[in-house]
Amino acid sequence: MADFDDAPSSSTSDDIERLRIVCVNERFAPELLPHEAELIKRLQDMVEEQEKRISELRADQSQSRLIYELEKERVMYRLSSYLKARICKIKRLALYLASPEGADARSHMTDKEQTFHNKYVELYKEHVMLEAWGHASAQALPPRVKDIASAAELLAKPPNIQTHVFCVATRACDPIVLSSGRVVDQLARGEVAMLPYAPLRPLLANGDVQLC
Amino acid sequence: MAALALATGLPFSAEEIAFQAGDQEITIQATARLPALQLMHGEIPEISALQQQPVPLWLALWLKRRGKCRIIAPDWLHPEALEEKLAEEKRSANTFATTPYHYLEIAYELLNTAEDDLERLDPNRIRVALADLEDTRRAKIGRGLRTIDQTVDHIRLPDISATELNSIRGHADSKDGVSGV
Repeated sequence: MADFDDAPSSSTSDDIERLRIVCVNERFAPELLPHEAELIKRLQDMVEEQEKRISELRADQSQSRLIYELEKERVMYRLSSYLKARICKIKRLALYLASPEGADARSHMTDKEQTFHNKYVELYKEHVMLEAWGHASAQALPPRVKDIASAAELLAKPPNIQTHVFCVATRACDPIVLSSGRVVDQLARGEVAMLPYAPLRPLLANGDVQLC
Repeated sequence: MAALALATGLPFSAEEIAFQAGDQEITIQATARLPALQLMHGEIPEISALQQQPVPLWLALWLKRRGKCRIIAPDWLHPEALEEKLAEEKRSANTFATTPYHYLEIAYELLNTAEDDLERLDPNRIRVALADLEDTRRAKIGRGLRTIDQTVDHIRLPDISATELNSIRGHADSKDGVSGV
């Protein structure tokens, strides 16, 4: 069983652990999760503080320096994994996020992500749609062929929230009702299960489960 | 199917899983005094020579490679404990015996980097027991997966480990294909 620390403090080590969790959640959730802006900011501040500490070390403290650098790289690797996982998803869901149905999910993006998304959609449309179809008459082709050729269909689909994911309960969870009507009995703390993503959304949001 | 495989993130690579196991705590014994460390993860007090202290695995391995510490094998890695676990694993056809979530990654890291610290425990006996344990559990997973069809919409996997879970990720995706979602 996985270990969970019940201590409700918010020390720096909690933020490091929290980064691990949000990173994995983002990687395996089919939808774009709300951006963890505050956490990321705190971690960036921590990295900066640690860089200051490193710069103040004496020449004879090279061992500590190397260890601090190594830890810093581990944290920065996770930060970049988190941001990359989000950008991958933003690309995969690009046209959906630009559509009216994607308004909710769009609000989960940061300003920078929105800038990336707008430009990506613009470039995508320009490249694939205008270049290929915009100036030519494609009347002769059946629409279905045109659709597949544009490959836009896939990017325009909402995320499949019925997809199955693995999760671990961080505390004993109430029974979960699946869309099939079947009820999954209480998950014990630390228990891993494979379930459809949709009924897990509220549990994921309040931290009762983590994806794994 | 290619589109379905993209529905969730790609499985972890072996390196990524090993990276994650790096956060697990392990006890070291300093070979010489180690100064206190102000890690972002938390403070590690000064460790005097021969004193024992739990530290994250990544740090333990870093120190070990430089001859700054010995690694104390966790109790579950002792061959007797692994053999006992294996017996328990064989007694039950459907459930896993309880092992640490990262047991395989930690065990192999220690066998590779700190084999001399396991000398007293007989590293080869550890390797054999570990491989048997891994095989027995893998067979159990394989049998479990064969029972899955479209009528199954959830699976409980108490005591599955990180590597084992990662090895069945592809099946979760193909399951979505089967149920036609």
